[in-house]
Amino acid sequence: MELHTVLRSRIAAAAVGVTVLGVTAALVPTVSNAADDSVAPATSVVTWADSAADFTAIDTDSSTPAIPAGWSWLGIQQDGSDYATSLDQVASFGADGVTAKDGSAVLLLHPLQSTVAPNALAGLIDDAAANAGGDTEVGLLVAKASSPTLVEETVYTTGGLQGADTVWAGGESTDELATQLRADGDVVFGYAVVLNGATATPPATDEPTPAPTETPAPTETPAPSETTAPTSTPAARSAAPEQGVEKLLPQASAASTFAARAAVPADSGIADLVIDDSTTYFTPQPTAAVSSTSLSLTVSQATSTGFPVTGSGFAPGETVGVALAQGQSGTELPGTLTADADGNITGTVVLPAGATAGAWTLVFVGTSSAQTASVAITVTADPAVAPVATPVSGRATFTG
Amino acid sequence: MRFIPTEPRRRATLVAAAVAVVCAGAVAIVVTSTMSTGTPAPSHSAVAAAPSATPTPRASGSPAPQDAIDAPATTTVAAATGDSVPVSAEPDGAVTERLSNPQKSGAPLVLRVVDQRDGWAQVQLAQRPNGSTGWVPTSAVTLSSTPYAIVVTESTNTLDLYKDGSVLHSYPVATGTGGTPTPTGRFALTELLAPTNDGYGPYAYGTTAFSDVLNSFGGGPGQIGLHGTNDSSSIGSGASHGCVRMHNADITALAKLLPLGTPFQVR
Repeated sequence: MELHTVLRSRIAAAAVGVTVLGVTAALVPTVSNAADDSVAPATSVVTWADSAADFTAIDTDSSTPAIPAGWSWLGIQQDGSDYATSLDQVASFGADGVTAKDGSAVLLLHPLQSTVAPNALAGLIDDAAANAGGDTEVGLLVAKASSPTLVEETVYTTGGLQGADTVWAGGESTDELATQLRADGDVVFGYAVVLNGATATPPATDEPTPAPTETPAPTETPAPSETTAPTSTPAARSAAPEQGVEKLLPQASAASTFAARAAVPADSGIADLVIDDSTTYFTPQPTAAVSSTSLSLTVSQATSTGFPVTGSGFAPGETVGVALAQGQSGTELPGTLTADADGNITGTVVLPAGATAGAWTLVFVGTSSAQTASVAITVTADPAVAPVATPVSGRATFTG
Repeated sequence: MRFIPTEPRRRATLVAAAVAVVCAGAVAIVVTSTMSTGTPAPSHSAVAAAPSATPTPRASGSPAPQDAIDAPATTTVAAATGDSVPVSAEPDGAVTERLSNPQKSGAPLVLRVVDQRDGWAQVQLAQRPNGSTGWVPTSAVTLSSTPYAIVVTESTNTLDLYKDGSVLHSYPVATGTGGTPTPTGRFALTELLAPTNDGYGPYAYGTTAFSDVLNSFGGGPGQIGLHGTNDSSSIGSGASHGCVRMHNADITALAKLLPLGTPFQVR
């Protein structure tokens, strides 16, 4: 583990150094991935937030709730009870991501890597996307420039986070929102996801949400009469949000304007979110693994044909660095592999001309996700060079 | 929980019909009920099965497609260390025969290795049918490697000498006639003689190849040789009984380079 950590940081440093115990190394990836231009490159940072343990609770008693580093959460149950005391009370994690439980609403929060001023807002949003359900909203945490870590208000999208095409509640484009923020002396310092669990209040059906979550049959258009439910005196909030934690919540949404969006796990869920050069997967974190069909090669083979490797469990599109290690020391090899859309890698690792025999470990590290896998290899000494044949005197009886 | 009011919400346009759920007095959350229209299929999948492993292709003793050149950059050869080497049909299998060392000619027993598994080497055997192989325990041999390989092309009557996978030199040769063709396939050199009889030039290599039409020749079993000649005019044509003839100077050059077990392909 320590070694992996060391290697990871060294690889992240993007060093192209090449000496392993005095040996120059070379890595030759095959073209199998390089040819796949349908895979978008991964963001610089890829993380998985796939269980309640990955989220910090927001201090609901504070009038000026701080947004902790990493992901944090706030959960409300519709029965009028207090804030949820554990994320598992109001949300469930599964193969499709995180989903708010029926009758619950969950707010997931994350600070930006650094405060974004209005003139940089387009840059933040143009590359942003969410793979979320129709009842899920993504928004920004807004603060006064003079106090850039205190939530001033939140601004949520209408129709989802869709890069440059994102529309903000109220119909504003990102540029228009930026203009408004600039006029108000505001900055953006974080982002938020609201998972609205199915309300389906009385229809005492056991399963208020339309059937299975895994098959998002697009044409179905659930057309549930849910929209009518809200009209039942929505106790519409007064225009002024209150304070504290409340500021984090979406005030309303132009419900009927939700547009078609990317793949959706569940209406009240989110599978992944890309913003701020970071990707968060709410789906289960895979275990990275790498294997080779040739685990033992001679020096000649290791330095010519090399070790064919296949692996899985990396972030889609991410760059995977490779290190050659022995014991607790090692170094990264030049060249990288690129994970495909499923997070798989395929390639060939060729050792340097001067590679020596011994037991080695190839360590693969996702440079965005820090997912790590290794495979033990053996390099054996080449056999000695065969001697030139010594002729023997005798009668030849070949066919002539 | 009590939160002090602050300044009014500025974007009143954000307010729309929705269900507000009021919790614990002052705190509220809006729960929207919306329809998702036209939901495309999911495109994200964090994990997927790794591609199935593909075995690395290996050289083998079986005949190759006619045009494929068998000139590996390096070939492992096995030299017998005792007075015989047991041969089995498979690793750890029963011994089916024992090869003498040295061979009947007096040449040391050296075999071309085409595959290896724990403690065992699969070697080409100088016997019919062409392409015969067997497994020998590596404890009975010493393994070494040769960078050389010979490729004879009948259509052009040429012999290409490869080193490290690249052509080092090309020589004109004579190969078999239409009636006594040189058999094609992937073979190996088995012995090097300095013939005491006429017709073979200064040197003659034995190979693992045997004539498909001659079961005996000159007191031998019809084994294909690579040798010199006293009829240099035949070089460059299909003129032999199946052997590969070279100019005497050329076979002499090879005799100074090649280890036994060197790959010998006819195509």
